[in-house]
Amino acid sequence: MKATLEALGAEIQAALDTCRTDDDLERIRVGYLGRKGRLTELMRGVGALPADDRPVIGDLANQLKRRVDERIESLRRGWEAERRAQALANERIDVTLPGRVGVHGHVHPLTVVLDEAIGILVGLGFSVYEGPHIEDDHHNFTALNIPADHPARDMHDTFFVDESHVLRTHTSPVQIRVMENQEPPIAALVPGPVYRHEVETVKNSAMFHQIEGFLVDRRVTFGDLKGVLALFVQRMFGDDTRVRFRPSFFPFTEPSAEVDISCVICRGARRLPTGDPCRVCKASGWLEILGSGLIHPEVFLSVGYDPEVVSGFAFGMGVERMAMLKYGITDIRLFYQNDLRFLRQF
Amino acid sequence: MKITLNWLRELVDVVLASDELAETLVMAGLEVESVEERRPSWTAVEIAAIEDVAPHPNADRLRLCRVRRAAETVVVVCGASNMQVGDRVALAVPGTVLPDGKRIEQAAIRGERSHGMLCSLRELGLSEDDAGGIMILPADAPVGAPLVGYLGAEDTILELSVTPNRGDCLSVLGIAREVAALTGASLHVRKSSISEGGAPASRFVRVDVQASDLCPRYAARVVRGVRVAPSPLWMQTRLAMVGMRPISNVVDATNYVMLERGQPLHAFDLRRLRGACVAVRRAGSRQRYETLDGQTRELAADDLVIADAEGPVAIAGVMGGADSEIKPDTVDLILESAFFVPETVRRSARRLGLITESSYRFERGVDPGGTRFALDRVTELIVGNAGGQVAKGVLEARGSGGRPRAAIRLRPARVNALLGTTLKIPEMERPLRALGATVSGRGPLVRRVVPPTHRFDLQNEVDLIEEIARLIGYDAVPTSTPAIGAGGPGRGPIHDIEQRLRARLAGAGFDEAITLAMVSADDNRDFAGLPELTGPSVELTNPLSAETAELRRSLLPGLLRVYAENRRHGAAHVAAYALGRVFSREADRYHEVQTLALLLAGARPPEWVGGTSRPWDFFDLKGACEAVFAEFHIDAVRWEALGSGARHLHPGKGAQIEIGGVSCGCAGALHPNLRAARGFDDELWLAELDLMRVVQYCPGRVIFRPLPRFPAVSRDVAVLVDEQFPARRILDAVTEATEPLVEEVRVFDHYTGSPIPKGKKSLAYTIAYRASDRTLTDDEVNATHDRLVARLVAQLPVEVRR
Repeated sequence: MKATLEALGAEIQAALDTCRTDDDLERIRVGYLGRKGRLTELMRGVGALPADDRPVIGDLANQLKRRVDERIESLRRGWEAERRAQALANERIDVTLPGRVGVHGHVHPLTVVLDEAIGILVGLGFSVYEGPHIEDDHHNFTALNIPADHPARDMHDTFFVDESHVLRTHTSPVQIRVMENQEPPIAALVPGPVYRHEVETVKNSAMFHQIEGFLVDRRVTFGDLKGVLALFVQRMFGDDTRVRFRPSFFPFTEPSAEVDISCVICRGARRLPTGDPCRVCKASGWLEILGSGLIHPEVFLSVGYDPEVVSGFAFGMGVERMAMLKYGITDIRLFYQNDLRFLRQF
Repeated sequence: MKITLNWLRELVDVVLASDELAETLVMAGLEVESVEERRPSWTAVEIAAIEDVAPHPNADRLRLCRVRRAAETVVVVCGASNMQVGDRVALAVPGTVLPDGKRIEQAAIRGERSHGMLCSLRELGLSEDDAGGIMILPADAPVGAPLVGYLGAEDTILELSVTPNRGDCLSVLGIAREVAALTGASLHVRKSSISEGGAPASRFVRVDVQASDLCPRYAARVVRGVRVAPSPLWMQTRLAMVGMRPISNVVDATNYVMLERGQPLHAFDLRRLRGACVAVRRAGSRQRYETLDGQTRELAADDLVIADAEGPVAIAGVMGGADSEIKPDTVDLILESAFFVPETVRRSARRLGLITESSYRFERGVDPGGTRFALDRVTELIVGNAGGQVAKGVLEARGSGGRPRAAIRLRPARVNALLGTTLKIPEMERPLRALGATVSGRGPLVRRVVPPTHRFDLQNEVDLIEEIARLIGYDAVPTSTPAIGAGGPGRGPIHDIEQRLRARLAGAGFDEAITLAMVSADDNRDFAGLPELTGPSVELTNPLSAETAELRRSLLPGLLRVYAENRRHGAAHVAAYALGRVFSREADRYHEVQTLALLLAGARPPEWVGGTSRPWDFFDLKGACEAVFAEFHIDAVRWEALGSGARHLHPGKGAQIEIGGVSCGCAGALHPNLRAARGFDDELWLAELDLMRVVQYCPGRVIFRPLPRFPAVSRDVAVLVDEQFPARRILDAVTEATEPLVEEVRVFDHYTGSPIPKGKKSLAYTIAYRASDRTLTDDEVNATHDRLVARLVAQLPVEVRR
């Protein structure tokens, strides 16, 4: 019996040594170790052996089976590893072919800038409000301390809808509407389109966008205005942006301030690294970006607030101008032509 | 407004260099648009005197002029003949470069040495024509002095942009006052010296201010016996530098004083006034009248005019009339200096479309206290330049404007409270005094401030606070950060919705377009917009063009322009959306609706290299709309065949979109008629949604549904139906059957063609069954499914395919 086992072992060894394919290997496994395999049958015969031989022979048979199992398994794993290595060596994707595109849409650059500004200001505690685009004379002008026959109306070339209604020339009428509807403290933010009766040029569009912000509370100061706007400008244009406030005039604020930032192109150096004068800031080093001021007492009176009790500041900026500075766009008309080659850059 | 630095220096000591001056003005609120240096090339030209004129020995047409310079006498060969012994002339010494680039050298001309050249106005670039030969200067021109300095031809021109509240800064004097206040320099404004003589002015003309409410101050002088001629060169040079055309010594003087003092002035020809009287009154009736620019203008009854015995001779503060203007033969003048109420000048100027240097200043306000001061200045200049005798006395009328100004209360504590500063009282008083205000009062509580008459813009406390801040400099106000304690909606519902929408549509492949709110009347006729816009379109009273004459009822015309523009550039497909307001007039109010519009045109791009592209179709558009609804968790949306529901869409290829039974917009193919009219080849897919109505169906919050614990089982059913049969009827029928085990039903196939008979189509649905408390058995599912199918067959014209 022992001899038979050894012979079988040698036979299996020989078969495995010459085996080259998975199929042959499986055939060998089934032939010897399967349910009717020769080693299996032989092991079944162990039970019929005399009791003394049984442990020895059984042990030998089991050892042989384990060896064969292991050998088969190791061959299989070796071949598999070989195949994987081969595949690794051969499988190559041309990664330079284009990606499979769903279609990607783009948000308009004005929206990008508007959202960024809104995000910053909401983060500072301001809330978004809206108002009508067809505005009455009272909200667009009179309540903002711009009476009829006042030269300040020249600052606004106005589209009229009827004798008492205009297309809003700025977002400021929403200041009046918000204050008419609630009591201070108010920290409001008004984004949206405004309209001016201006012939379309590289610099002018009959419709453009503004963001207006205002804060009304007890004890709001001009220093607060400076603080909030400096913070806003730095978040919008970068921490190294310098800011300056210079006196100006708006009928609805006093004191009024024009806010300039250090030029985003020459960083306030007035000249480009090439030595040429910076054209964006006209070699002044500064760019006008915002109008602002403390809310005029007349404005508070027009909404029934007591200017002795509350104070506040307001500011407004042109979204197109900010986008033009941010992206280096020199023609405002591009925003309204909606050329996809333009829109898809943002 | 332009001023020159030398002119400014006549009125104030300017110690700053021109760029520092500009910076100082900018930081005080006077924007400096440009600083232009005028440096003539011919600085070496000097004033010389003719001592002798002799013929040239070798040329008949040339002369030898012996001229005296500062320290020597030289001989110059000259081709002109208009000089006499004693004349002051312009001598270009060797080395001078003329404006045309020609360099003067010492040279022999026809054998005679010439030590320079005597110049004409044209050769120096001071005049266009050369009729008069060489330039002859006034007899008192200082020999040896540089001509550039004498004429004031070397100067720096500052162009300033003055805000509407600062009418007082529309003059050299105004800027000089600012410079004085900002730098502490002193002003030099001397009193004009006038010698009156002869008969009193009232003998020649009577002044009658009838409308003293509109003309609080009026002052006039009579000057007789002037000789109208060109102004002196220095004045012509200076006027030209600031952009004003020299006309004559009388008119130029009025302009010069207006530019210098800010007071518009007018000179009338006394002999051309009918009835020897000047009345300041309302026009009284509509009438036609010729202004001195030669145009006939229609006056309104309440226009303020200056009139003689027979009618208007000037529109007050705007423009004089042709009849009484100064002409070369004018001999006697009436000079007018007045204060007209700003609003009245503004109204007349606007209505007549006549914005003049004068009206511009009057409507921003001139110094009511400076009327007489400017009148004397112009009289002095005219007598100096044109001769004549000033009649005795000033014809003056003073109305209410003559009262002294009331004091403004200024509370020092208020200054610091508004500015956020810790200024001491003297630090507040100092800048106000620098402006010329008188400040009185003691103690910590109140100061009484009377601003000078030219600062009519300073009316109340906050005006003074601004002035304090302006003069100490905004940089000196400390920066602080307020605690913003206001509540509020934050981003707010609308902005939040739009942001989510944009993100969703970008993901769906749509590019955002922002289009103008103004469209043509045709656009509004073709695209009537959402059903709720029942009223007429909103027209602009003053449109820029017919293309932008109305406010849009729909965003679609704008999107079609986006399509056309991009198609022109060869874009193969356009998927764009716009978000914006549409407008109509409803009963007695204007209606504005925030709207979303989508456009698909051209071919859907192939999915990948080697793939095929196919035209966009209705279901691409519907899918995009559904993506929007999904973003807001709105599921009660029904798409109903459009029929004739929207004129701009193809009746068979469009849908009305309803949520909760209310129409929220429509979607479909552009109507073939409109397509043809606009010359579009592609089928265009358009949708427009009333955004606010849509989101009103957005559930307030999303509530979690527990995940199912037991598996679902699906059964399919395919039916044969008429081609016109809407797929949704099966879905509705399944829902209406309210079988408790039915979890979901959806269409999974749609097929026409062989072997389906013509006029029919096959629809296949999959129905998911699930119980929440157990795993369903096949028997249970089959029983329910069979019951459901039997019900469909009984209720609907369908045939089950097996």
